[in-house]
Amino acid sequence: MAVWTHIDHVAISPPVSSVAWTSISASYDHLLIKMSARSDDTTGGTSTLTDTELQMGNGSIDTGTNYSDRALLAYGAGNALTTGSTGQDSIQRIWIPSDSTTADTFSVTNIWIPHYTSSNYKSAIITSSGENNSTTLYYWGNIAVAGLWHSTSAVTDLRLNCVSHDFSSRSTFDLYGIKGA
Amino acid sequence: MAVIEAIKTTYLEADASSVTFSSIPQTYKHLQIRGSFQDHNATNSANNFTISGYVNNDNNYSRYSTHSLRGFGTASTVHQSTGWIQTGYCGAEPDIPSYACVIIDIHDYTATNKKTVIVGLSGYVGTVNNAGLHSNLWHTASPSGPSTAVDGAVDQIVINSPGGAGLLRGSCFTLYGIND
Repeated sequence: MAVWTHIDHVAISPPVSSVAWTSISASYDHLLIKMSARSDDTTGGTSTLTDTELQMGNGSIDTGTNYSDRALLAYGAGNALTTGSTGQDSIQRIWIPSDSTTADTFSVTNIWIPHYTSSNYKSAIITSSGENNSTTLYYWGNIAVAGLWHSTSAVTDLRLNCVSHDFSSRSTFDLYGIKGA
Repeated sequence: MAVIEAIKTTYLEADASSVTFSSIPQTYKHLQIRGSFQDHNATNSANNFTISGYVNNDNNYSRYSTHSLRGFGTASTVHQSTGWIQTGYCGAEPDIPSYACVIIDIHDYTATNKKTVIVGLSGYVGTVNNAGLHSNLWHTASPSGPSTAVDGAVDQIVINSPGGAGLLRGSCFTLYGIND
């Protein structure tokens, strides 16, 4: 049996505020989202990076305050930082470039959700890079996020929200199911 | 067809200046390189050495930007430049048999309307320890290079050790294609 299965490909056109998957099969052991995304936000300045959020659910997306996260991040010279939150309605700070970064530049984002059908709370480990041909503070960002959905239910639903803006056309999202032994 | 396939593995039996993956098939959605590597400089550097990930035979770091979040020794730090490329850090020959490791991702590499972003997740434990997430953007194409469009598809990747003495024997890189 193949170890990797490609579950779905989403190519954005026209821009949309979220991407969702429902009725995800329980026949894998791990889930992986590979994402190449950009937002249509043209604000710039301290908004040069756009936040994307991850929500999970079983039968429907859980929009309650059942998520926590902890991130290691940098967005300027000398500012390797950590931050986190609890009691949130999503796993936060999955950074992508906005439309004020270098033209045609999209994120490289990987979202792993190991053992998504287990009866434990569901962990995610995420890395995302918002590149930009600049060294100005806030104009680029690298982040590693550890996320937790406080639920013992299997994950059947996933949603990525582009906060306050839309994912730009040409953004792509691939969901993979990966088998264990 | 399997979703993930190994396209090529290069193992260095002898020291080499670089590793090249050329004529990359355009039949996958994403590329990933998994490598272990070391610089063959005779002595370690206080700031370690780096590896690249040049695309489309544009092998000049001045045409890339880089942004690194890394743990460096006992400190957390940032390195950024609009004229450098680094997908990972390593040590030098005196540290063998320790080698650094890296996973490099290039998403949507066949797109002809996206600039190439090369991201490395890398770690090294040796004389000078490192762990980091390193993103790179090919922002300017060589005016005389074979590919003058930074929005073009990726068909070649070159890994070397800019600023170092080259890749040490025993370094190994595998290129994977991931389907959609």
